[in-house]
Amino acid sequence: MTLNIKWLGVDFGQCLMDPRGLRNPLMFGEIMRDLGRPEEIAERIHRYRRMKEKYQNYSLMKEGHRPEIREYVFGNDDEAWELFSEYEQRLLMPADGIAETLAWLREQGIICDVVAELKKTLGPIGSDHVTMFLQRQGLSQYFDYFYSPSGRVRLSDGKADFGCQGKDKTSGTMYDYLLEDLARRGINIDECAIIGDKLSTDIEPSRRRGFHTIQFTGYIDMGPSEYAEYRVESFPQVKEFVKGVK
Amino acid sequence: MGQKYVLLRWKDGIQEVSALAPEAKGLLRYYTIVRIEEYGRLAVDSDEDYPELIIIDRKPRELAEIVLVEDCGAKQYVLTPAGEHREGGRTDHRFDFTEAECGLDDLVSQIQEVLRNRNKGAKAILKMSGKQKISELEEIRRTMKLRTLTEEADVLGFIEMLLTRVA
Repeated sequence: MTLNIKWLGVDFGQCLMDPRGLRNPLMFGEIMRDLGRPEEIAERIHRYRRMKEKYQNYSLMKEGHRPEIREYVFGNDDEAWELFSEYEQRLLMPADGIAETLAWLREQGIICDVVAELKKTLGPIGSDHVTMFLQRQGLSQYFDYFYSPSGRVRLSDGKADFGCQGKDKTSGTMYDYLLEDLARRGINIDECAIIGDKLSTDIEPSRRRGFHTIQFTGYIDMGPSEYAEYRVESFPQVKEFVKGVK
Repeated sequence: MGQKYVLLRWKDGIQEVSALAPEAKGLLRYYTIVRIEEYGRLAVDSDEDYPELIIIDRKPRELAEIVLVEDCGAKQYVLTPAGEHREGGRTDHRFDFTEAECGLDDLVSQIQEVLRNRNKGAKAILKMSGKQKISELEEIRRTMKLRTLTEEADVLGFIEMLLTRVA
């Protein structure tokens, strides 16, 4: 079954970005050895894990409580905090085959945007972990816009607008906004698809609004869903059924 | 608030003790993480800002019961497997638990029997100090087949708490 589209919205965490390289013993080992205080590695990891038990997942902790990581895990040590942000980026990996697939999609005339849940205030490109990752991995060139609850950024020049500020994927308000925004960009809903791993944020609310949906199971497989029209384990698999609308 | 302990009971009968902060309140969750190696993570609710976290490296999926013990009583949590969740190369095994107030009657009976067999009184041991006391507590520990999770002082403190109950 072929999926003819003009636009693909790509989720960030555990989809476009593969966090498998980001292991705590490695990251905290690198930071504390760089600082010349390897004896603190175990304590810092333990604090980081205790904090995770408070918030129950690392994504929530890192997106919504970064100042607390700085304070509780690193005791407001500026140098350690800078290294944390640096190593966090250095150890994150792009999903297998993502660059070649994005290049292929662009060749098909398909517009690609990032749709993520970043809640921090938008600054210049490269000042948040999503655009920093895209730049560092050479992936910015494949995307036109980055949509998040903090606003929309045009990746070619960093121009931001705040029409989608406060909209999010879980409640579906981000998809309502995308419908309007994509219509303004001359793209119809039946020519749009979302690819992501989480059923509750990427698949179900977008499908309910008429987007085509591709469930990415390469990192987390949340099981089949009636709302997921396609399932792929890797990005290159997308090339087997997606075609650009001429 | 007095000293608190967690007593871990495995399916194979092994029991290990670890001290908890006085602020510890109750079990929050238990799960294991399998990569190449496997560890259990035991989160204990606390009046502090962050839950207390205990890492279990011995047969994490065969842990059967967790008992939180303090001077005035104990709470028992019986674990049952509650499914697994895969993320990349990591699989989490989650556990549900049922909670019940419980006594430490079995351990109290055990320690009384040890004292009888050794012809020693709880009060006498509690009055001891230094190496002599540690040696007595250590003998009781071995006879009762109790172990510590990380620091020997934890299990010896736990035995002292039991002795206080029977004194």
